[in-house]
Amino acid sequence: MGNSKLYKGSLNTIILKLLEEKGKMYGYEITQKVKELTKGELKITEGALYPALHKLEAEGLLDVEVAKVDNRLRKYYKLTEAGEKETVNRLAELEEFIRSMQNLVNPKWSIE
Amino acid sequence: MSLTKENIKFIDTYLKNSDIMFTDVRTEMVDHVATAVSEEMDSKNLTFYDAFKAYMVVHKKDLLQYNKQFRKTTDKIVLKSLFKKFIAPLNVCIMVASFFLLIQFFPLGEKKFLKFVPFGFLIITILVYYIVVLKKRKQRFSGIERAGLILTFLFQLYNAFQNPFFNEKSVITNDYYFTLVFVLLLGLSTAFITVILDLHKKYTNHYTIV
Repeated sequence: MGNSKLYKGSLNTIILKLLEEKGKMYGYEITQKVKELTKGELKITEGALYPALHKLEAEGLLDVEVAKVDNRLRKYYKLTEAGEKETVNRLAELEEFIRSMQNLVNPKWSIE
Repeated sequence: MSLTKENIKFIDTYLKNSDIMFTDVRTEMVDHVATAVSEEMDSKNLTFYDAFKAYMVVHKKDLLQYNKQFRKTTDKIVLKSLFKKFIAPLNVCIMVASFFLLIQFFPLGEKKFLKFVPFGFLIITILVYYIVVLKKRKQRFSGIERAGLILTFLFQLYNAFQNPFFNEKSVITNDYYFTLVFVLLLGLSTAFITVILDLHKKYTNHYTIV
């Protein structure tokens, strides 16, 4: 992949966005979805994903549901009401950040 | 391809032997590894053991990193809950009422036996841990153990530096100070018990097998 450090700060927002779209997801599913959407450019490791999920859960942004699947327990994550509101805020922040970066990297010069 | 119960047990035992002791952490890891291994078996036509070995060679370091990070997150969650329960209106009422009742009917300044309270607490904690975890080999949950560790640390920190029941030359030697300390320890203990009960309820609802 290109540069994982560039993605690192946006991991929580990526997770929130995916959960907003899919309703509920489990850890492995999130890693695969991100890999698929970024065409393999971003591979989230277990060591990064689960602490991020637990942090979001502790902040009250995610709720947990446990179900028995194929002889084992599976933990599903979904957005809480606060999580839904926070997703909107964080996406707006991310968009603003991307716009600022675009302006910095590729400024449009004009003579006023 | 779905894995058999024996396959799942194998993954669980492997992770347990890799020092991932807490059931709540392992449950999520078992599912993650099992899903990945199962996909590997399908896509590359491998046996369970070959797929498992191939997965672990690449990902074991990440799984152990997750285990380490999980402790930090759990500590933050437990400390936050402990503080919330400590300042909860009911707990504050119990502490205030106990303070005035003790001052009125049972002044603590001369009760020398109270110096054993922190030690008593430590001995009970160790005994419970030994019986429940080591002897009966019950499932271990991160939140409950980390909460116990935090509380023991707080008690012993206080005990080491400020226990008025030990310090004969303590600057403050009046009943009010002794009673206040006793009541705060009582409040901390009740907060601890309610946190443990909440966590226990959550864990038994979520993790009943593996």
